[in-house]
This record gives sequence, structure tokens and C-alpha cells, in this order.
Amino acid sequence: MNIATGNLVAQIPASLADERAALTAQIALAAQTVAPLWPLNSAIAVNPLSGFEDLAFEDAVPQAAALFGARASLSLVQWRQLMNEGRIDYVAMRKAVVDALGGLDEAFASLGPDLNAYNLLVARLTELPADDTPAVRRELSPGLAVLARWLAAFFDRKATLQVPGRERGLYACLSQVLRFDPAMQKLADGTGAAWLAKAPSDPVEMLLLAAQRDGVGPDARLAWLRRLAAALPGWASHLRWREDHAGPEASLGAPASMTELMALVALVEGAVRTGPKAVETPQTDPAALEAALLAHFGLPADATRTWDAKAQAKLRQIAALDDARLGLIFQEAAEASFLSALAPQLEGASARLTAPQSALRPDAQLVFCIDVRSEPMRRALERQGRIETFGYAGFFGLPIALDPACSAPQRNQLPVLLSPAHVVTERPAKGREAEADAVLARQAALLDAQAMLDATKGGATGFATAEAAGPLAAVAMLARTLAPRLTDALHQRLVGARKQVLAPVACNDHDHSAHADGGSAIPLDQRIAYARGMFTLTGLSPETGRLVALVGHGGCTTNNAFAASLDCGACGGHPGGPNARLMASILNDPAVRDGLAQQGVPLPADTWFLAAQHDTTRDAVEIFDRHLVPASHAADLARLEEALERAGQIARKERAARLGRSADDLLTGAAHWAEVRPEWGLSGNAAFVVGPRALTSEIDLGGQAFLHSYDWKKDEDGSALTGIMTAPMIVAQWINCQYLFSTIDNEVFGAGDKTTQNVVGGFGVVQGSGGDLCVGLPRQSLFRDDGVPYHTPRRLAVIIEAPLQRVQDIVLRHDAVGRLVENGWINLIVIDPWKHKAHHWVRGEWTARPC
Amino acid sequence: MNQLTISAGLAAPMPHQPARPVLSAADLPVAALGLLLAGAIATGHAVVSAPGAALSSLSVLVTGVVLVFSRRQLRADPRARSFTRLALGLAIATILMALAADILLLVAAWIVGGRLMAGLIGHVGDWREARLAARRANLSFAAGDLALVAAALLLAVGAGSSNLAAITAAAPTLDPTMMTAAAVLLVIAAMARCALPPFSAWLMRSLAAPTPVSALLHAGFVNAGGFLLISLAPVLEAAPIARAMLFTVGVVAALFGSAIMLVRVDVKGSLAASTVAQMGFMLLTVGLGAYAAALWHMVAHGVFKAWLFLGSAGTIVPAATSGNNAAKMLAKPWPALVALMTIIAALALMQADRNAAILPLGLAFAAMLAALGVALKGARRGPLGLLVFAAPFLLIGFNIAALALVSAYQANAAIPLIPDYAQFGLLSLLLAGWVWQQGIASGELTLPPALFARLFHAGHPAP
Repeated sequence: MNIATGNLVAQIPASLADERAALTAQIALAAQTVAPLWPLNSAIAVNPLSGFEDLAFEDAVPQAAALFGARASLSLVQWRQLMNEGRIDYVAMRKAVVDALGGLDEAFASLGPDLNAYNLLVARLTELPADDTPAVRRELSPGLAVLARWLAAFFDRKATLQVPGRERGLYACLSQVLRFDPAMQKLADGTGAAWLAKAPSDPVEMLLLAAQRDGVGPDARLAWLRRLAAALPGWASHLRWREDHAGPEASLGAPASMTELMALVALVEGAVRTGPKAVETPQTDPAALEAALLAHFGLPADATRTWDAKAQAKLRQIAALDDARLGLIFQEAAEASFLSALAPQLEGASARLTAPQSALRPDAQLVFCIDVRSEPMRRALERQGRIETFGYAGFFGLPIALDPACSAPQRNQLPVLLSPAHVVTERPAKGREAEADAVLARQAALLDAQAMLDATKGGATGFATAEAAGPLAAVAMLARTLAPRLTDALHQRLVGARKQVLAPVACNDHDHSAHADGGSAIPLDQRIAYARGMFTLTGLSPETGRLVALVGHGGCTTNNAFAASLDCGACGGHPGGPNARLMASILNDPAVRDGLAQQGVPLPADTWFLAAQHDTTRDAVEIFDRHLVPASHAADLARLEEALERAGQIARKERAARLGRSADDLLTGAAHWAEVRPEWGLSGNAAFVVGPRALTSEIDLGGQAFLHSYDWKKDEDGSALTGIMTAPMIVAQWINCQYLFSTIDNEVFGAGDKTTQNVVGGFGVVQGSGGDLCVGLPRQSLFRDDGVPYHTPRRLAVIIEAPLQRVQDIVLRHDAVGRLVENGWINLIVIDPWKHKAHHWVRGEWTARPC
Repeated sequence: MNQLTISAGLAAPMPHQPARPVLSAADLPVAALGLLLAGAIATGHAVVSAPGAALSSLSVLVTGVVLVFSRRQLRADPRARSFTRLALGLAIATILMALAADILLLVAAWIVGGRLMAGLIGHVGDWREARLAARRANLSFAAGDLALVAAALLLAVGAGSSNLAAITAAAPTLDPTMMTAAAVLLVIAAMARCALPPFSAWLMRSLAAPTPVSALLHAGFVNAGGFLLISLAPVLEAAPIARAMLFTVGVVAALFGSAIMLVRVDVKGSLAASTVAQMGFMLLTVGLGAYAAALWHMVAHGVFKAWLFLGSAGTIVPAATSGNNAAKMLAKPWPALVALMTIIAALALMQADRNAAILPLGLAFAAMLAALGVALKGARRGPLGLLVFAAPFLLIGFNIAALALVSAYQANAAIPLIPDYAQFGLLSLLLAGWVWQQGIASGELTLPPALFARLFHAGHPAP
């Protein structure tokens, strides 16, 4: 508060109100420091540094790392390991080093005899002994540890006994119970206890008071608030999700805001005075490093006396580079290594595209999700006959929420960037009503059995329940451990083919549309528009084959808190089968076909759309609604299934090699309750390629690329490309950044070791007995068994085949895209479709030959 | 076909794993322990008793499952081999303890088992939380070990032999003061091992260990307290004070564990709290003299808890479903009705049989009724609904059969600790607690903030 104006009594309220308003505005800004974190039942990849995207990548990462207490890069030792494995090639490394030094002249100017800046920096990067600073498990101060467990109790979804006063809001509730908590009373000294007892009831008041107490002036307040917001980044992220992305039902009965969380942190920090914990960053003395560098080249420590000032400055500058900066050089080299191998091949393919393409009608066409895991499968499949594949966002452009047939809550089957426009109910599939009823009855019976266990396992009856359930548990435990696949098969049989017999209904079957269009979940004109969208965005020609399969995807795993992270991100972290089925039924609807024909997309009458789901853990493709396929297409279907089977085997073998296991073991792992790495997920993702499949079809991308089909020739106004760059590309960047930062510091930006995780509140995990909520991905999803990162930290390379001007217009017009490109969060490469040359967007300029 | 590979972009395949020797120097202690067990069996220092057989088969079953489980689960763990060594060593030590014919051998195996478990709890050695947990476990075990050593010495000196059979045979004839001292010390040792208050903190902290360690810990390790007391039951029976103390701490732990289970929102934490309650129940059953029931509880709960721990990663719930809790629980008139019917049944049982184990039977009856209440609420037609409805009967029936089988090998105490009406009173107390808890769980009752904060604090280790 400004005391200078204090003598004018009338002004005090006004200045207080001003101060309050200013602080409130700053709170809103500071809240953006942490990224939202989706609960694990619908895990969505987000960039943990999304609050820093307004800064250039190289500035943002060290800043965020300092704020969150993380490493800013892999350690030098780890980077050298990756280089030794051939993941960074020499030429790219050389170029990255030269760039870091400011060009060839600077790099190779002679400093002394046989010595130049290039040699010095290379020695620092790859030769000088380096500490292997590991990512360390984060420890909370005692006060924050207490707050963290109270937050867990507040946000809990399923505990039997809830924190009293939850309905009054986060701050009111927790500031009250904290006062009564003996742990807090023990930690707080006299002043702390008074602080705790006299905490104002309004969170903004609390923050004002704390700012005053800590002597934080108006200029320093934003940074101070950001630190408060980032004190418990996991719980703050969960809260950010609740505030901005969850429906109102998520916070029903327990309202909370970031302001309240910051106020609680300030309250706890005021009550438990711990000196600012010195962050242990291993500071190497630049002078010692200078000497070590000189010694490395056989020079005495005083050799620099004869050098000119500029050379001395150069040496000092190189010795002063920290691990973050050195790591970034390695990272740039890794990115360039990938691009320098890929770009020339794409240029060549682009040139070949101008040659006349085969006009033969394909046997089958399959539309896969853009997910990197589709690529090996598509590559294998295309070699099994005249089969074409396409890449399209896995929700097939349907902005829907699914209302499941059983009592399960509604779930959003669309990218989190969008909000659902339709609620689609799940109903027994046509022709399989009896089976569906049986499946639902079994499911209900299982739920009842579970409810019986839940209702009796606590309290006095729990003693008898443990005894009664013991023998069953012994059988289940032995079965799941010794015969996981058999157990899984039995379980599937018991539960029934739920996925098959229940289908989302768009009401495009005739019994329902007879009831009037009001009964339709999706009106006809919208259905036509969604159907048309697929053709415009992917460039899929209306001359479709006899069979067109829409293939969603999902993972297959058991006893895995991160199961949803293996599902389709475009479907909100759920399997994509329902969207595929809905889209197929829309496209098979004669009314939609008529509408499409009127809008200039006439489809052949003999085209049948098929829905399927790609199991990315086992590389098996399950086809839905087989019984609806017309008899005329039975032979086509049989051929396709054969091709899928063969392709699945090839893809599985390829992935098994990358996992260092046998293909058969992947099948076991999918059903085994001890499995910590059923598949690599999207690890290794490095590129997002937008263009026709012919551009990449001859290249083994090793499951590292998102592939979005696109034909620039069919997109004259650039609206399709705008759609791709503002939605799927952003999602791919979120995923890329999640994997990147989870790898760089798995303990802070990732979820750490899976085996010590503890599921909390039914929606997240913590490490051990409590603490901050884990964000990001677990260690086992990113690192090999020997501890070396499997995922190479690389920023996403967005590679588009389109006219440069068109891409440039989109970048300049859309802030969400421009920000990422200009600040270097992605590498944008455009292949000129006329000259077939790649251009890299570097700070507002196109540079030819990106690598 | 012009297929090319991006060498620098592609992640290299797994490096060749160097072949490790089958046995390394670090395996020697485990091998020595194994030899010791073989030696003890060969030289007649091992004897199969009902509690020993129960504990060792539980240990073999759970260790077997956990070792297979952890081959996959700990694949990426650089200390996986050390885990296997310690787990095997722990199993051998447990079997040695379970089969020991000599109290000194039993004590030695008990102590070794404790150290091995502390080592397992500190598995993640570079994590402060794990180191603290291991230290806490070591301290608690040391207290229990001291008590056990003192008790063993007293008994061996008193009986003039360290042979277990000789001690149990001589117990009723020995000096009552000495017996009381020895029995109290045994109870303390069991309390430390079973994580009863005031020793619960080590168990609540042990969550810093990987999941397979928790499975071993909650099945086969904590239960050893029950085994110890049942093996030395005549000593306990010779000291009514110790027996009453055991009963009291058992009741306290059962209530305490059930209460803190309510406030833990993490899966592993609520499982650990439940273990405290279950161990309390087991020891109170031992105190009552119903050894067969306690033994069956030890085995069945051990397996149940191992199963829950190993499957704890699969407990993510579909979505935020506020108010769904209530749906899972029994609604208002039900819990009171169940309690009332149980009390009536217990009264009838008291009339019919003067010497029945009213408490365990009464609780089983209440559990069955509660389960049926849930099944009725979601009553489904058809054969499946019938099967669900029949499940509680089948399980309780199986349970009674198993209990009868155990009773054939394990006699109960000759004199019950407390008369029937006292057991009946305890049953009523536990049922009242249960009705209250059901009310809380279905959101009908809440706790005042001050009480909640204290309970919450009791359920969490100090930061």
C-alpha cells in the first residue's frame, strides 16, 4: 500500500481499490504460468511450458526451468550418449556449433596456434569431462508438503470422507482446516501461528497482506505471484484444467480458483518460515573451465596472455556457456540431423509427384489418424496390394460428446481445442440388439459385484470382506501373473464384445429419421458438412475405391494409470472407434451421399465406408459393423482383412525391435498387469508432414512423424491448410513439447518412475505417499531400460508442401500459429511445389536449404 | 523400391545386454540363508506347525507372484537384481522363522527378515523419502527386535531350554511374573511388526517403495506378528494381563486404521491404513483366543492385500462424478437395519452355543447382509443377477469351510479372554462404528473441521 497518500483519509479506500484491481489483474496473468493438466482418465498431452510461448524457445526454457526447479536440458553426458548412438550426425553438429558461434568467420578465426573457437566449443560439448547432473526427485518444503496433501483431499473425486466445508471454496475450506492441522501447528513458530490464525477470509486480501509483509513492491508483484502459482505446479495445473477446460460438474460442490491457490501458498509460506531453499545448480567455475579447456589442447593456463582481447573474450564466452545453452546446441544438431536426412528425400518425392499418377482404382482406401503410430502400419499396409492410405485427425472432424449406453459419464470425443457441438448416444448396434442387451446385463452385474466390494471393504465389515475375498484374490493374482493372455481372453469373453455391439448413433438410420429430424443428434446439413470436410482437408479424391475404411485408434493395456495417454489425443484421450463408426455411418447414408453430390463431391455408388480401430499396442485392426457390409463387398473385405493381418505382423515386428522385445511379448505385455511399457506411445515424434502421401510413401519414417494428408492444388483459398495449421498442428506441437520436456527433466516436467507412483483422487498420480501431483509422462514411457532416453528431445518439424505465400499468409494472420513459428517452438519447413525446394522459416525470412 | 532409412533420426535399437554371471558376490548372503534353512530342516531344527505352515505358504505364494510380476514391472530399474535378492532372502527368512523349532533361530530369522524389509523399503536409495522410510522402519523394527530378544531370553532361561515345544509346554508352570513380562514383550514385538499404533508410522511411510515391495510387505511380512503370538499362545494364556493388553491395542488399531482409511485419498495410503486396521483385528482375535480365525484372517487378508497393491495402478476412475459416492454406499435405513439384524443373530448364537466366536461370525454376517443390500439395490433380473446375489453366500460359505479346516489343525485357547456378553458388546461397538462410517461415506454425516484435521494428520506421516 502506498503510505505516502495515507494522510488523506478519503483517498485510502480509492488507492486500496486500485491496488486490489492491479493485483487482481496480475493474478490473472500469473495464473497462466502453469499449463492446464487433464486428469488421467482423459489424458491430453499439453506443453508444460505453454505459459511461456510468448518468449523465444531459447529464453523460455531456462526461465521456466529456474521457476519450476528443473533442468533446462539433458545433461551433457546424456547428449553425448545420443550422439555416440548416431542420433546426431557430425555434419549437423558442426553446423549447430558454427551457428552458435555466430558464423563461419567467428568460428574458425584463429585464436592461437591451431586453436579456434570451433575447436574450443566442440571440446566443451563432446570431450571435456562433464558432470552427469541427473534429474532429481523434487522435494517440497514441509509447509508445502502439508498443503499438497490437503489439496489432494480437496480435489479428490472418490474418497469416502470429504473435507468439511468443501462447498465454501478452496481458500475458505483449507485455510480453516490448516489452522487445526497439528502438523501445521508444529511447523509454525509464534509469528507463523498468529499469521495462520489471523488470515483474512478473502484470498485477494490475503495476497495483499502477504505482499506487504514480504515487502513486495508493485513492480515485483508479477514475478512474486508467478512464483506462488508455480510453488505446487502439479496441483496448480489441475486447477487450471478445472477452471478453463472442465465442465461445471467437475467443480460441483468444491469451487476453486487460482487466486485461492496462490493465497493458500502465501498463507503457508507466511506460517512456516523456511529460508529460501538454495537451488543446487552445480556451478562450475568459468576460470577453472578456461584452464581445463586450455589444458585439453595442451596449452598452459597462462597461454592466453599473448592472445588479443577478442580471442580472450571468445574463450571466456565459451567457458561461461551453461548446460542449458550447450544442451540447446545438441538439440539443434539433433533436429538438423533429422531434417537433413528427410528434406532431400521429400524434395525428390515432390519432384516425382508432377509425373502422371496411376489412374487405377485402388482396392481399398484407409483413412488413419495423423498419430505417429499410424505411420509404420500404413507403410506396411500399402505394400500389401493396391491400397492407399490417408492421414486425418482421428476424430474424423466430428465435434461430439459420447453418452455411453451404461451408466458411465458422458465423454468428449474431440480435440480439447474444440467444444462438443453434439451429444451422441450409444445404442445397441443395428442387428445386434440381443447381444447388446446381454453385454449390458453382464456389465451391470460386474458393476454390482464391484459395488458390493466397495460398500463392504471399509470399516468393521472390511475384516470379513478381506477374508471372503482372499481366496478369489489368490486365484485372480495367479491368473493375471502366470497366464495374462488367457486371463484377458476369459475376461473379454465374460464382458462381451462391448465395442462391437454398441454403436454411437447419429440417427441416420431410417427408423429414426422417420420420427422427424428433431430426433437427430446431428442435423442432415451438418452431417453433409462433416463428410465433405474429410474430402477437402485430406485431398481425398471423390473417385473412391470400393472400400474406404476409417480407422480410429486406441492402446491396449491393463493396470496402467497412463492408459489414456496411449489412446487418441484427437478424441480427447479416448479410443477413436466411436468417431470412425459414426463417420462411416454418415458416409454410407444415402441422404448424405445425395447432399455430397449436390455439393460437387459425387461418390461412386459402389463405395462402402467401413469403420475400424487400430490397436496400437498389438497392431491389430478391429473392423466394426461387419454385418452391415453388403454381400457384394464381402470379397473386398476379406482381401482387406488379410492385408491388415499381414501388415499388422510387419508393423508389430518393427515396433518390437524398437522396444527390444519379441513381437509375441508385445501381445503378452498388452494383457499383463505388471507391464510398465506396453508400447512407446508417441515417443520419438519429430515431424508433422502436411502433404499427399506420395510425398512420404517411399520413406521409412520409423514412427516419428505425424502425417496429415493435404493437396494444395485442391485448396485454392487455403482454408483447408488454415484448418490444419490451427488445429492438428497445434495438437501435434503440444504432444511434441510434452514428450520433449518430460524427457529433459522427468522428475519435474514428467511423472517419474511408474513403480513408485500412487494413484490419488482417482484422476492423477503422486510419487510415494504424497506431494505435488505428477504432470507429464512417466519415465518408462520415454527412457529405455538402460536409462538412455529413447525419445530424442527435438522440436517439432512442421513440413508442408504448399506455395510459400499461402503458408506465410496463414502464419502472419493467425497469432496462435505465428507465435509458435516466430518464437521457435516449432521448425516450419515449406516445400515449394513448383521448384521442389525446402525452405525454412527463420525469424520472418525463408531460408533455402534448411539444413 | 527406393526405401531409405534416416539413420540419424531413427532411435538406435536396444544395446546388447552384456551377459551377467548367474551368481555374483552379492548373491552369497541369500545363498547362505538358503543353506541355513536347508540345514535347519536337515538337522531337525525345523518343525511344521499350523501357524508356521500358514505363514510359509502365504510367503511362498506371494513371493512367487511378486517375483514374476517384478520381472516385468522392474524391467527398467537398475536395482532390480537387488530387489530380487532381498525378496528371495526375505522369503527364506520368513520360512525359516515359520518352521524354526528353536526360539533363538526364530528370533534370528525374525531380525534378519526385518532388516531385509527395511532394505526393500529403502529400494530407491537416492530419494530422501525412501531413505527416511527405511530409517523409520529400521527404528521400529529395532524396538520390536529388542522386545523379542528379551522375551526369548526370559522364556529360554525360565523353561531351561530354547526349544519352542519345551517352552510352550512349560509355560503354564513357570513363574507368573516372568511369564507376564515375557508375554508383554512378545505383544510389543508383534505390535511393532504389525504396525499397530504407536508403530504405524513406518508402514504409512513405506509407500516410498515400489509397488512389488508393498505387496510383499502387506502380505507375509506384517502378518508375522500374528504368527509369533499364535506360536507362543501358551505364554500369552499364562499372562491374562498381556492378553488383555493385546486385545485392547487390537481394538484401538482396528478403529484407528478404519478411521484414517477414510481420510486417505491416495490408493496406496488407504490400503496401508486398512492394513493397520486389519492387523488390529487379527491381533484382537488372537487376544480373544480364537487362534484358528486369526490364522485364516492372516492368510486371506495377506493375499487380498497383495492383490490390491499389485493392481493399484488401475484405479483411475472414468470421470468427475460428484455424488457418485452415495450411489456406491448403502442408503440410510440399510446400515442400521444390517446392524440390527446382526445383533439379533448374535444374540441367537449366544443362546445356542455358549462358546462361539461371536465377533468374527457376527462381522461376517454383517458383511454378507451389507453386500446383499447393495445387490438388492441394483437388483437385476436374470441368471446373472442371481449369481451376483448368490456370491456373498458362496464366499461366506467357502470362508466357513476354510475356517473349519484351519480349526482342525489349530486349537483355540482353552479359556476365552472375555465372556460372551463382552464379545457381544464389542460387536455392537464395531457395528455402531460401521453404521456411522456408512453415514459419513454416503455424505449424510460430516465431521467438524477440527476433528477432521486431527484425523487427517494422524493418517499422514510428518512432513
